[in-house]
Amino acid sequence: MEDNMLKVKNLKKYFETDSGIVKAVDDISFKIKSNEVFGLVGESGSGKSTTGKILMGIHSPTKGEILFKGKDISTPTRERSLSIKKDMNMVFQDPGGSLDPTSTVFDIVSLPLKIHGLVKNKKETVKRVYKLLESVDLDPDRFMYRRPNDLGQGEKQAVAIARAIATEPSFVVLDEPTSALDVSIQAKIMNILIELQDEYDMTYLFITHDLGLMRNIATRVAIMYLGEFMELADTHIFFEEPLHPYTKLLLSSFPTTTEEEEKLKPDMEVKGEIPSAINIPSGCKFHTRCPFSENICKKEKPKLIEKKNDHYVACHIVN
Amino acid sequence: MSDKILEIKNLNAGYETYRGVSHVLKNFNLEVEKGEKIGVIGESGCGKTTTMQSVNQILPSNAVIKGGEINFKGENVLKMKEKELMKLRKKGVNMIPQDPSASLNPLYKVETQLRDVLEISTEDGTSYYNPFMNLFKSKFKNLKNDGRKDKDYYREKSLKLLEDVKLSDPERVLDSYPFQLSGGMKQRVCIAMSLASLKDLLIADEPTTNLDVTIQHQVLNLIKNLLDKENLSAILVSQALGAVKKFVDKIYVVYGGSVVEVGTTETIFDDAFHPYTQGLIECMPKLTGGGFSEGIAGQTPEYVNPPTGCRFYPRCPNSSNECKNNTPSLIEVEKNHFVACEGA
Repeated sequence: MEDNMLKVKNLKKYFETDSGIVKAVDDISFKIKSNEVFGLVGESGSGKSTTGKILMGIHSPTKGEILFKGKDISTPTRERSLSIKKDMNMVFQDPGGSLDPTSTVFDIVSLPLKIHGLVKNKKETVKRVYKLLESVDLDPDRFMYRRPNDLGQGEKQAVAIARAIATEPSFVVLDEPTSALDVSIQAKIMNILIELQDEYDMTYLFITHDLGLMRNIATRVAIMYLGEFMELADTHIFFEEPLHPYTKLLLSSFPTTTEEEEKLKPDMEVKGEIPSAINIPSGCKFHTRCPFSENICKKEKPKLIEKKNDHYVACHIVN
Repeated sequence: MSDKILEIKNLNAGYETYRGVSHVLKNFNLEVEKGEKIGVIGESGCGKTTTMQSVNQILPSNAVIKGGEINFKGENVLKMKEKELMKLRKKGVNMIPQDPSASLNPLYKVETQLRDVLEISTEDGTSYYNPFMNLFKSKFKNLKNDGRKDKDYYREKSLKLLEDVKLSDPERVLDSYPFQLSGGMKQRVCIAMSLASLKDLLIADEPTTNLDVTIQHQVLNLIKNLLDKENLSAILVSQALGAVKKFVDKIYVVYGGSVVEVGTTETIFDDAFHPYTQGLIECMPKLTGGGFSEGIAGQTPEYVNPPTGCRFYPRCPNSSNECKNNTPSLIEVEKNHFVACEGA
């Protein structure tokens, strides 16, 4: 059995729009190991959600190779076999938008069970749904036959998680699952996710822009900027010894609440905004905002190089 | 007192719903002095927005105010006539709304909407925008300017404002309809509108929820600098505790429609007393790691039949029988640190 659950090689996704080609994902390669939580951070427009959607087959890649447990899945979703679809699932950002308002919680959670033929009769279905709702901390007797409109934001997201784990997938993409929630509910949902990962031996691709969340759930973190990886490292190294100027910029703009956190923040002036994905700067994409940029940064694109053990950085200055 | 900009006293308000009247605000108290920045924190559904909307009376039509006072510079807002209220909204209170997509008109371009704000709030009434100005100018070259401003004047001003809020392509934004912009862009347009004319009080109702941390950081710094320069007051309503901590001097923690704890920013973050405040602060994921706290058990109360006594007791880890029967009022436990809890 291979150690890598997922292997992505030179993945590209370009969208054609009226005003030009948008390079949403531009040549990224990475591996996700079994049972890890691989974190993707970046500002909005950096292509992190697109990456998640490509893996799920919602978008088909323009170029590149995706191997899931050794099988190539870079083909469109329709051509994916049912067993692969059963083995990967996704939780979306907006819990309201991803649940059918006319169905009950029972319908929503039982649908994947029926599609994949995991249950034989109604009685068994009810039993499975009951157990799934319990595992996401919802009282089945109260919630089973309610509709999404009667649920709070946190409860909706819990239902979405129950649906995602219904088929017992080994790989789940979590696309900002808590960004629409209150902090108090966010903590609860995160705890549920961590417990479930343990229980079902799942691998997560966790997408968020919240570095605080990332620190507490991910085992490895990659930072994305305009469709490319800027830095990739183990979580504690990523936060304690960030190398790339962009990582430092993000860290220093993170609003903290305690003094110990304040010490972790590099001292850096925060300026500028992520440029439009249509007019991508030449050379290193970050050079327009980078305080250390030199001539070479404008001309040549830096490669993602292994600087230390398992710590990859794409920057001329650091390398 | 003259230096009090805003004083909310025992405000009780709610909404008429089909299930009955919901009693959202219960004896809500809040004070803002000149130059002071106040933070209001709490979960959604705690009455933060209701309070802020009642200050300049833009509550939904099913809202009912059952008692209390809202004094803006010594005048009771609740007794104002519509004409005075309009004046208050134009000249007194500035608001950054929570939902930018609901507060921009989908039928007009951003330029038109920004111009409206600029001409209504900044000028003294003599120099309103004259749509025929450009036409006149081309026809009669020698026409004397009568003090009215033309399109270009406002466009330039708008561009400057949009640049201030770090929009990377202000020209395009001005020529767009709101649906052509992303959530973050719309939010920044709304912020630009409120910065068009700074007034005595700025109410920012979750102004940065749709923004990236880098932009949030820059925009909040900008607002803070502008306010400090003129010594103006602000209320920042937010759930992003980190941002609140950097921005404000004093924090009101709100739960279930009443204030449960008031203190300076340091007190609230370092020695919070109320179990709810402690829970909220623990919920924030830390950069230093250490996993997640349990969160706060339960949910915000239901307002049609709210819990008697302390509204927090069903969720409170240290609740006792007294909490069920007695409604705690704000008690000063230390200097400038007020807590509404039986345990205090």
